[in-house]
Amino acid sequence: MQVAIVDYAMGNLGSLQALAARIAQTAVIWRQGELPHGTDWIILPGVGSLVNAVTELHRRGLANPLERAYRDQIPILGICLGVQLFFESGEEGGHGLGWLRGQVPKLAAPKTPHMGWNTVAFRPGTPLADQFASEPAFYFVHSYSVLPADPEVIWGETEYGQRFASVVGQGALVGAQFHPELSGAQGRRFIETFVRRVVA
Amino acid sequence: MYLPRIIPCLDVRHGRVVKGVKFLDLIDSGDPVELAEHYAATGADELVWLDIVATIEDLQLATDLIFKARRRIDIPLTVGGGIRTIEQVEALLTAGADKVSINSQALAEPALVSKVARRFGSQCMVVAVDARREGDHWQVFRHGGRTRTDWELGAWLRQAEDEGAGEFLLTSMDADGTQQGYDLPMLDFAHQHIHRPLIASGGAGSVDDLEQALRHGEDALLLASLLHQGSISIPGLKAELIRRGVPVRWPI
Repeated sequence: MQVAIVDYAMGNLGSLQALAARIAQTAVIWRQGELPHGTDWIILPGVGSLVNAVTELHRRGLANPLERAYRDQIPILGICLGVQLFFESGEEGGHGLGWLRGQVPKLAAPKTPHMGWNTVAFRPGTPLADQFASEPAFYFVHSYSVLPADPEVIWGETEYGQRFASVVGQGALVGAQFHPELSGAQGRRFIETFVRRVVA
Repeated sequence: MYLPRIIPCLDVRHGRVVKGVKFLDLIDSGDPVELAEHYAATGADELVWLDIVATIEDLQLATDLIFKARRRIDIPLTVGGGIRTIEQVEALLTAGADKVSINSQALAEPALVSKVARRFGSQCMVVAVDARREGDHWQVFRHGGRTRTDWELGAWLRQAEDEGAGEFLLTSMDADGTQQGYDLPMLDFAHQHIHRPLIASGGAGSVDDLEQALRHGEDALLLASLLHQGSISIPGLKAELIRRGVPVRWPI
């Protein structure tokens, strides 16, 4: 299968390409224009703040094709800033794509960014939950987190200063606040399960 | 539950590992990519790769190796050593580093920290600091500890955080190489001045030292010579910490 990795200058893509290779996916970098031909699913990555992210997607002509892909229900995995982009608006005036209702407030913790390994409690019955025996640990780097208006989209939660949604999903749209590509064997399992359950 | 980070440090010069792991014969093979892959596969939570990028050839060599390593490891990678310009930072990040660590040049040119933070995000800007006790305070040194600066530790940490440091790598020159335990008084002092994650470095000589630092509240520990001697491995360390009731990431 082919995965298109969205490149909008919000973080480097080397570790995502490496991950795609490890799970036998053909990775293409989507820098501008229409969705690359033959794409089965999309990774929307990114680190940093929402403020410039949507502007940059528009500037590169990626925003409209991405919106069409979403409407056509092509599976999209948002990672870190990518999952924040699913929502309506951030705390510092930045806007998301508005696919899911909710905000992206600053994480209420004494030490930010939340950087390092933390466990995710998957909500039983959601599509990725049964693949993990106990609460697996993943690698996080973020200062903001998503606050969905609809609790039904929360697939997993994590504690850091506060409890926050670390995995969200609705149909073909799945987002992780952590970095599966930097999360060792559990990260790989997360992506493989996503590909098997959501993409395939 | 937030889990502490156990972070091996790879010491690389001109593309070769300076101090390898004895029991794996990695001193002889000297391949930093192989060593990085070994650490990642055996449960390291993150890697720090210290290389001296003194010339254009060094930078080319480092980026080639980091590109290779990135394809073989699936944990975060911080690269540092001799970084002086934003172009070097870009080259290392493009090659596959997740973060860069800057020490001497941050002291010489604090604006470099803010430039990197603005361009690539503060999460990838690690400011490395070497400090030593002087009477009633700690003083910052640069050039691998050879040159004393005018900075008192707390003042420099605050300044670096204001410039956009997303994380600190703090080495106690007093504890470094002693294998007598982490410099907890210095670390306590440092935490009072910053709101960013901090990797503690210098002094780890045994599982006891790691346990003591983690129970004390440190949550990211750099390991160098302890692993190089080959008497203990990362899974060995982690299994022992868990046995003693100190949570770390497991299974790996």
